[in-house]
Amino acid sequence: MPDRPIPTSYAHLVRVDDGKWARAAWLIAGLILIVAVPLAMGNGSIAPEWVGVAIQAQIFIVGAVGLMLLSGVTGQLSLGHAAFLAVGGFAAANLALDFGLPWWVVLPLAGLISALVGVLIAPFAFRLKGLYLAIVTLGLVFVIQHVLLRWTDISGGHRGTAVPMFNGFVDDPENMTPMEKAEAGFGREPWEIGGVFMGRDVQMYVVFLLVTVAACLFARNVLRTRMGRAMAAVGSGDIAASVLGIRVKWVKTAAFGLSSFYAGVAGAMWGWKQTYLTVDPPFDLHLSMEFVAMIFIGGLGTVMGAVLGAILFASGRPLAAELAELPFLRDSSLQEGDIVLFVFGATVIVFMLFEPRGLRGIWSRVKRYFTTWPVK
Amino acid sequence: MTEKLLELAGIGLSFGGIRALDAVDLNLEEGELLAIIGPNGAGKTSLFNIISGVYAPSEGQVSFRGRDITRADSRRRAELGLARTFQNLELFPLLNVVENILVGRHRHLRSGVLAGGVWFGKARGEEIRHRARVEEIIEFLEIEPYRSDAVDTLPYGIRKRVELGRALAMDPTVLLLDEPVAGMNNEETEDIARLILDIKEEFGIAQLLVEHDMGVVMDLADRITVLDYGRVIATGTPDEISHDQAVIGAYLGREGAEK
Repeated sequence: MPDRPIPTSYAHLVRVDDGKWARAAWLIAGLILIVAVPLAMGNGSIAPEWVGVAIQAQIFIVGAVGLMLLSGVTGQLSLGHAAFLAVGGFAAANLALDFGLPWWVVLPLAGLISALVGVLIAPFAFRLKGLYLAIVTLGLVFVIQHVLLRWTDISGGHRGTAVPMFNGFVDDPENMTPMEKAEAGFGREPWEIGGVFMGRDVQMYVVFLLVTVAACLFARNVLRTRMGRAMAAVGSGDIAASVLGIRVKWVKTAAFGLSSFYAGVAGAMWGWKQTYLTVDPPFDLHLSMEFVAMIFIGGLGTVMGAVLGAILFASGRPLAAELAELPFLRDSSLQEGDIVLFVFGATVIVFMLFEPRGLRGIWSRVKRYFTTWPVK
Repeated sequence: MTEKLLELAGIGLSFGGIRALDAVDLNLEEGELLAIIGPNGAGKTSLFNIISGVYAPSEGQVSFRGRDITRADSRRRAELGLARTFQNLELFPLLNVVENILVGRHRHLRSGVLAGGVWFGKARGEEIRHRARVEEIIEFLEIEPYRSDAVDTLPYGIRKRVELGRALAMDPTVLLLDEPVAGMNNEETEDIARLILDIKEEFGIAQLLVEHDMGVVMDLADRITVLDYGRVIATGTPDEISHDQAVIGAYLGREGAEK
């Protein structure tokens, strides 16, 4: 199917253009996700449980794309991603509780606060590489956990804190009654479209979908321009990059900042989904490892890989839980959590052995099959 | 006296007790093609690493257009117009051919993370302008069919050309080529040799060439410097070098020189 027009200008050449079939497919997928899925969620065709899974997938996507930029592209292996999510989550809580800021102001600010922490961590990556950097970032998870638990004004200590998601600016949020807070909160009024009512979760799905798409497009654009190429260059070697005139330290700093911005945004989304956050769980080493596994399974180096890995992980948990209902497993002494862990672990190993390019590798093989059809 | 483009004076380099380079003097003039030859382990690649700022010399001075750059890092030297290729290819596997060459344009581009992520406006305009230059280079190197291929799927000879293209995309004043024809067959070697001459004649870029293929060196170089055990044992035109007793001795052994 040679459906691509011959490029006639450089403006044409720099476009992301996979041909008219791919464009049609993206359009249809987009319409399904933004129109059909919310309607199906609203009228109950999609179980509320799976609405939660979809929102979790969106949070994972934003987080995984962030880690992909840092570890998958720039080659700076980080086990500290959960720490940046925590910073974003608690920043979101406090920006709303103390300053009464609406969610659409909190979202970028939570990202920026997390990015600031990321930029401060970046100098460790100037000298440390590979596993040594991984150990430092692993330490970061414990440091941030400790600081947050002790700083009870921010985190509420072990009790945790509410994460309000206000629709608009709120005056004096500290003296509001819980009732008033709820009134100002996101999703209070259901949306009605063609007789279908959509509650808070469905509205959140729609809003997060826009955030997720924006996050993916931004990352895609970064990767096809100057800084993204510099990141990929640094990812394969400091020397070759610097010989080409790239400021390696600056690129690493930018990668840490950008990656933790994404993590901060994902943390804020996480807080809003839960409405209430504690430090641990969820923001522990286990979550960091999950993000690393997501980008590995998805396939390192591309946004699509991060997206596929994140979706697999978000939907993997309920799927593995269904697996636990199988007779021979149900009667065993295994807990549901054990089975979930086992399935994830086995999946990672299988991918490393048989498809090191990840889900993204499978995807490009499928794509090639169709673009070269009927030639094999 | 004309100002030397690139000048090395009294360069020494030691790794522990090993003396890799000793009192090396070298100069490269505008538009000149200077080859550095010598037996294995003579210090050719070390010299390249000193010129491109990967190693700092133990003693001596490197200057570029009369300016001391001994302490300048690789990035600074790249900005001054020094470009190099590597003996073992250093292409970026995450990027395709066009993108690899575009990395060479890095110092001419300005957009940061934010402008890049937004795409429309500054970044797009820049990408279009510089894509035009990259396409010229692709055409010059005759690698059009491979334009959007992943670099690790390409044949060796093509990969070498892509790396050359990436260095050319920097619009350098000096191009350092570390064994550009190593491991190539005759046809590939001839193609690269022709490209090296074209780079000199069409673009007027001064080149410093490390190469083992004597045929290529003798045919292409304006001047040749011979290194042996980290010292310069001769400098001269290809004709002078091929008759130099010290050089013949270094390559064939002392007895060879005496005969």
